[in-house]
Amino acid sequence: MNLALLLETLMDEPRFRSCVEARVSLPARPASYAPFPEWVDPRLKDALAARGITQLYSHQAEAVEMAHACRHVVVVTPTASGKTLTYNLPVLSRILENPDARALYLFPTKALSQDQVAEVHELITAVGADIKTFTYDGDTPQSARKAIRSAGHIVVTNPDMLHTGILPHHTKWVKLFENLETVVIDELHHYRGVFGSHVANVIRRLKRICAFYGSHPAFILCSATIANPGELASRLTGEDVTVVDRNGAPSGPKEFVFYNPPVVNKELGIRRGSVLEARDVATRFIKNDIRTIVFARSRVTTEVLLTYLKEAVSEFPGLPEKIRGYRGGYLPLERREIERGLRQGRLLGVVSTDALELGVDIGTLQACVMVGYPGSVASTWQQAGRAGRRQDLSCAVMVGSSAPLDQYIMSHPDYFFGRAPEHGLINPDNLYILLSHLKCAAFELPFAADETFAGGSTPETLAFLAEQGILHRSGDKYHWADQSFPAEAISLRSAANENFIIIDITDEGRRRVIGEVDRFAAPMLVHQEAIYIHGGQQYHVDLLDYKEKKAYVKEVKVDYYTDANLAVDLKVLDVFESKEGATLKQGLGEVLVTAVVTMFKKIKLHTHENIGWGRLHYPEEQVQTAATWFSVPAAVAAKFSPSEMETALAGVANVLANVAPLLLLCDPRDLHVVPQVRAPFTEEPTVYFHDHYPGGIGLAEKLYEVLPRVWKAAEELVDGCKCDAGCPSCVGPATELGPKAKGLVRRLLAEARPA
Amino acid sequence: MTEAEAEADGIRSRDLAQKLAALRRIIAEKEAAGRPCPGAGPATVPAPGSAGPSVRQPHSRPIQRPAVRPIETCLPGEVRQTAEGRFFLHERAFPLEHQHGRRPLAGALTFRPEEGGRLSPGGTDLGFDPVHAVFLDTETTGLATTSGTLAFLIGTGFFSGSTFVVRQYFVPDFADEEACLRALREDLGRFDAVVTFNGRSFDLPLLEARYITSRLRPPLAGATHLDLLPACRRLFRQRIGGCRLAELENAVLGFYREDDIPGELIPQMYFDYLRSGDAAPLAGVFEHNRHDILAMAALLAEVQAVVQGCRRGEGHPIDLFSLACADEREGRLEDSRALYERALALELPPAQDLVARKRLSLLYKRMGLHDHAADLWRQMCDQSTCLSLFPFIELAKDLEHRHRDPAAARQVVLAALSRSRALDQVFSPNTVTSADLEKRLRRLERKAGVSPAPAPAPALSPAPPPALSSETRR
Repeated sequence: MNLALLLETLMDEPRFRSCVEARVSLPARPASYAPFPEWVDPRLKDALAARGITQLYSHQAEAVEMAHACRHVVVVTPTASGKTLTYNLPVLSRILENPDARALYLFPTKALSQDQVAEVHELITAVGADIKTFTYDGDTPQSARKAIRSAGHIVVTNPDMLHTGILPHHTKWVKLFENLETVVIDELHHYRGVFGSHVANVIRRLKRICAFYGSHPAFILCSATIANPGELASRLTGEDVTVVDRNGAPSGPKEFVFYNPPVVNKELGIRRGSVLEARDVATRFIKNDIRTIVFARSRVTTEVLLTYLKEAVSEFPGLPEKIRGYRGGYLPLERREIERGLRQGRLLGVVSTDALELGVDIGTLQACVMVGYPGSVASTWQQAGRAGRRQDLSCAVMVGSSAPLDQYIMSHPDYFFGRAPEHGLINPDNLYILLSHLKCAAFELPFAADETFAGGSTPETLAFLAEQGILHRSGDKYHWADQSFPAEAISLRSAANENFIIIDITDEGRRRVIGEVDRFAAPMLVHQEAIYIHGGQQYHVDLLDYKEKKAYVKEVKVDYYTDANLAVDLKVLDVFESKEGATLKQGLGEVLVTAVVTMFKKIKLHTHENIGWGRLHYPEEQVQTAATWFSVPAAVAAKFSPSEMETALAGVANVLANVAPLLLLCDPRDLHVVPQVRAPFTEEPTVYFHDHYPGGIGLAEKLYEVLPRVWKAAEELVDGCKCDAGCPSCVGPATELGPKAKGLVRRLLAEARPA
Repeated sequence: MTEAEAEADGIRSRDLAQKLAALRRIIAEKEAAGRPCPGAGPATVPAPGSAGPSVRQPHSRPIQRPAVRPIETCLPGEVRQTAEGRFFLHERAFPLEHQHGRRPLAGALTFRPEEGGRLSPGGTDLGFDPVHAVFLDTETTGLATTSGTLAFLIGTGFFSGSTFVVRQYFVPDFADEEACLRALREDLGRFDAVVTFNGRSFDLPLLEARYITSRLRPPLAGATHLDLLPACRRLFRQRIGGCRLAELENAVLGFYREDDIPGELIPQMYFDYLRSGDAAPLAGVFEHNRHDILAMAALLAEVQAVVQGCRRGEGHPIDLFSLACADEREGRLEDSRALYERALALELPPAQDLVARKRLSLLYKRMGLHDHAADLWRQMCDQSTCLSLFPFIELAKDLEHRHRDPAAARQVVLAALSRSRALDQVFSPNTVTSADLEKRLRRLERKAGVSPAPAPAPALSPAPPPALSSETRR
């Protein structure tokens, strides 16, 4: 059955139809072309013609003209609109014209860099010119580095390597920095939040070094559809960037289906699991030979779903092997192999985390199944765009989970289709981040006392660092005056950059590394006796060697999985600000959060019943960070019995934690909540929110201010929820909090309003 | 929503001055509480074990401000003022007979690339004359060879008439660096060779980074470079193990420093000086640097003397062996052969002895001296201390292919198997080699037309070592 027919068949089935909350048909869009500009080198034109490219899409033509005129440009490109040509064309033309010219390509991940180098290589080979393109990242052999530094025309790297491996060593890259004409930043939308704020500062440092060597590169940026590409590009690069967003690439028609699993328990507001429903939908596609990508929200879900899918098609010989998993933690070679399999059509299905949301080339797929709302409008369109290219019909099915956000989207499809995608927000002037990069910049080149790095505030911050003894003022300059190498201690991403490796010892004689997992996740995923799932295969963790950062696992086949419990303790170190209302007290300050995995449960597959548990003993992880909190004064607390307060506080914490990321526009994982009924610090019932980033990234600070609005949104959510006694979509499941939860939460929200 | 979005942009809700004040307070409180302070960098996660900017005791403790004593009041020398800044020159001349350990400095003048240069790759072709060479060593504010590290004391040493002069350039403050770098470059212009200890990966790239950062052309562009670290590694590692400068000074030169400042303390001493203005403690750093320069001259003399001695066949056996290895690596096969033979004729410790025999035998083979090689293998097979099956296998190959004597080769393989089994009792079984031997044995038996016999260990080695033989009989 082809896709069109299958979709109609599904819609005719009552069970399927009853779950469809919305179905939107997006029409096909025709192509709009423009000729190659005059200035394009004939060799390049011929090479492209040989690959079937004789003209450009209109948006490509517009972008390359601007790049050619050395203007900063950001191209907003949906999947499969030929974005790489928008930078390869002007860059290669320029190098053909002047062999001294240099370009720097930045991709957010190593995998993408490799993809791009392969593609540029192909084009260069076709042109037959001596243009050297290299990736320069952590995997580049020491022996090759010297040649790349002096001879590479196009250096392809990632922001982390630029930060620690290139900028601090600028004196070894004189040739590059003297002649740098173009900086390409692909996947712009990826540079948001903490990561984006760091990268904006890395770009400030890059520009500072270029200026030292006398170059002023032009930026070409590419972004998926977000609300503010121009603003994000300008803040990231500190330049005026022109937006090109009139897409001239064609696309086939697409069916978008919002699929809400059936309610299985109305009182508890519980729907059938989105994983099982997604499995059923994806199975239908795959059994009909329709190439399908399934996006799951976590690594564990990816693996569980892969297992389910393989089981579901097991009666067809050869079919289970055509379904693979894909996520961070698989080794690079394995990932390349899966990508090839997808491109060449050897694979029929892939279950992935958002790792495949980025522009890794996996060829054309027909159907996309999303397990749960991907968390942002931009991500949803990226994932949906993975299915469907030029002409043919494609389809995207979003399966809702019980999460409040998912249920909101499911019941408000107009909100999704009518809404511009999110803003990509960064704050390069966040003091913590800024100070980090001022140090790196001072290490790279001394600062003139009146030099600006980030607007008018630089002299003040330089003076501060000098006062702390990290910089030393001599004459009219500030010099780095410390033994350390600052870039090494500053990670652009989360602090969890020390990975644990997972070693399969099923065959003692042939140990092999099957994956890796980051430090914070290790005690959760590969603790002793955990069942670790990789590639759909279950492994029992025989030993977690915490000191050596190694987990030893053996293949097993069991009917349960494991779930570890994280115990969190929080201590207030300092109070920056506080305000006291009659019904609620608020605080802002610094806290020390200690997290330790204490125990795990064994949970039976399919039925999800608890069939055993064990204790765990691993070192604590500590984060010193910013936090905001509110506490309920005694007069208000007196209106609740202690057990009522416990329920109400947990429920309020849940609902606020769900709503806050929406208003703060941050990833829910960046903000953690800790309720304490008897908080040692305030001696009152208290809820803490802390940034999940050492030193904080400003979320707690922001929440301290906007708490009244978050509070109001929380009240609206609870009031508007259709459940009886509380459900996972509002205050949390009644099964955990008790039947009175919803009422108690509403009472507490009403009694204890912030001033 | 739009309002919220606008506000999310304004995470800078509290203004900068307020935030910096809050940071200052946190840092002050932590220091008062005796906790390590994260400097001004809360965003810097102190990595475990990294000192980083976190520990800054001298700054945090209320200290008695020491007297401001500029360097010129602490050491004799000359302050030079130029348009770019001022720097301090400290100079000391040593008579040629001055000894750093047992070698007089004059010994360095005997250095000849075709002899002493044999330890460096391509070293014998160096256009190198010690009279026109400068010895160079830097004291720095860190270990990164990038523009973020300052070389605040640059020591040079050179021969001048009947003296060896150590001239040290000191940078009194960052702003004065350019003046110093310019003068240094001018000074270095008259040398056509430079001698360092680990300069290839440290001192020279660091200086280059500093020159580029000051927008100056780096010095010594066309100069020949002799890095003593790799040379000393090749020559002395077998004999003394570690090859840090201090280790070489003790074990090779017989020089022991008194009250030397450990290198890792030096950066902090300079930072302390920058803050306090008291240069007096830095006198020790000058001395440390001067010793490094003198040690280089003495090592150059030592390397030359050792190579000369070896060529006369008088060297320490391990030195002969080390030089043989270096010669072999550089393709001087005849020289290498003579040195190996001489080293073996004297007495080498067991570990080096076996390696030397093995390497010499392979060298013979490479040179076409097959009988010499076979003799060596035979000797090695008879040595009870030989834990390797290498000589057996080589000998068997030689007998089988060159002498076309499968029967004799078979005897050797049988002996090898017996040795192998004995070794297996002591060490973990080496199944790969055993399987290989069995295969070889069967082939030889086929060739020799011998029926597979439960061959007892033949008497190739007349008296098997007691420890092994008792195991074998079991």
